Amino acid sequence: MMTKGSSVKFISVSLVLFLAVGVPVVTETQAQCPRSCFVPNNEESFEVGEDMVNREYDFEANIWGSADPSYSFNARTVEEYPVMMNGVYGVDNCWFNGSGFDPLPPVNGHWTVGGGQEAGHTNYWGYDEIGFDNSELNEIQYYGPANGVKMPCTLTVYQQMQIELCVSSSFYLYNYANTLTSMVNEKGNDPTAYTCKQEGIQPYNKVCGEVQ
Amino acid sequence: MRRIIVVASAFIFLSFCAYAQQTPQNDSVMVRGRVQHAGTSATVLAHQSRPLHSAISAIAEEYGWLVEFEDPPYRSRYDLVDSTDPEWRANHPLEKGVTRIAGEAFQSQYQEGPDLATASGEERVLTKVVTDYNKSGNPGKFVVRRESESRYAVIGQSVKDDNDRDQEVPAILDTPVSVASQTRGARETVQLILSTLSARTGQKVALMSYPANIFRTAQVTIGGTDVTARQLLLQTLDQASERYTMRWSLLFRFDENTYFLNVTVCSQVNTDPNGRQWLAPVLRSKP
Repeated sequence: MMTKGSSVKFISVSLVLFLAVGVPVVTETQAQCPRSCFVPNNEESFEVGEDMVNREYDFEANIWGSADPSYSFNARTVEEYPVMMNGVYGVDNCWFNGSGFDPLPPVNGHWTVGGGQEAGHTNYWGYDEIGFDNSELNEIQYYGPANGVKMPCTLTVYQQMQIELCVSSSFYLYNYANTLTSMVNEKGNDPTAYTCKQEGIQPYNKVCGEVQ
Repeated sequence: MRRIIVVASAFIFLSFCAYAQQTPQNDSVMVRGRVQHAGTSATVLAHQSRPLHSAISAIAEEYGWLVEFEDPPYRSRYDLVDSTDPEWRANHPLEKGVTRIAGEAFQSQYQEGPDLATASGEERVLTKVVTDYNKSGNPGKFVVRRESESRYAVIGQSVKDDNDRDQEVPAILDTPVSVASQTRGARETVQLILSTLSARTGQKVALMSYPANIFRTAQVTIGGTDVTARQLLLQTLDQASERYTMRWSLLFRFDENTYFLNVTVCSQVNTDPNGRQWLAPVLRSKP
């Protein structure tokens, strides 16, 4: 695993952020949102490094609200899950018919902001593991080409992010949608043979009342 | 009436053929299978080498059901086809080619109703789909097994032998194994169960994909003597997350002579009024 300091990279195109209109406030107009709660409207993600044991890439993310960037979302839960874009959950050019794994591996996870591996790191959550496990990489690199996979192959999946509101079990969709991309070259453990990135976010303001 | 049924059946079949032809290999809808609703019935469509797996996954996601899927060990020329890419073959004339399971398009129609929210409704649909599959001529024969109140497994029961006859095969996860009870990481625990199972049976079984963000931090305390591998895996998934339910698919690959275990978070298709669709994780019910 690379060290955090040396490897934290701004993922160029990747990141972030818009809606410089202020920290949205979810109103109390709907039964499932009994009290106001600030939600973020920005998120940046950073590659922390590649886990050389299971080969997945670790990312951390920073969230904030534009109007008050110092507002702390610590202790709130953020969660990711797959979303469909243009009729698909992603495009998996690394999968082949008859493979030993399912196409379009789903992206799931939940984290406590400022907790876990980001303990003491205000408004950061992570690590988020993205990409292929070693077993999947082997399958793709050794059996993919003969099965018609053109190398380098690319997996693109879409995910959206939600954050827990102040009332437990109510969530607000603050990020629709991230694009996660993994690219795999032919055989070999050259670090450049396999890369992952995470880019883009689009705000989605319709889960729980109006956003001001 | 008979004519209407014939015309309707032909329409569904032709629609499916058109859909299958127009869908490129890596289009996610095709590889994931699809459930189409019409009145009080639904049709599941699948078109890949493991069409039942694709169909069961689509149904599990449609209704948020917990259904495991387990391949039988396909080894005969009646269950496998050469899948070597012609371009690759031209460039590698002396290398060994590759195979895949010989499955093709499959569809099954079932009635939808209020009982789908119950275990008996779930069992009814799964049994209908598996029964239709077993008559479809696709590789393997399967059974539906109820594992708990709301958990089912679709398990390969027979394959073709070298004389094109059905040959019953045991479910490898029913093999009893012994693992020392100890607290370990979830990923490490699953790998230990599978390596123990491999040693016990002489058949390689390996972990392929899994929810990395959950397995990375989850600690589980699992173990037992002469307990089925299935039971140990179920206990592991049960302890690995307080928030999510998880299910697996066990896929056999002839070229690698290996069963690969794929664990995924159980999810359900959600659609908002604007038609936007996502896969929401099925959360564990609180005690």
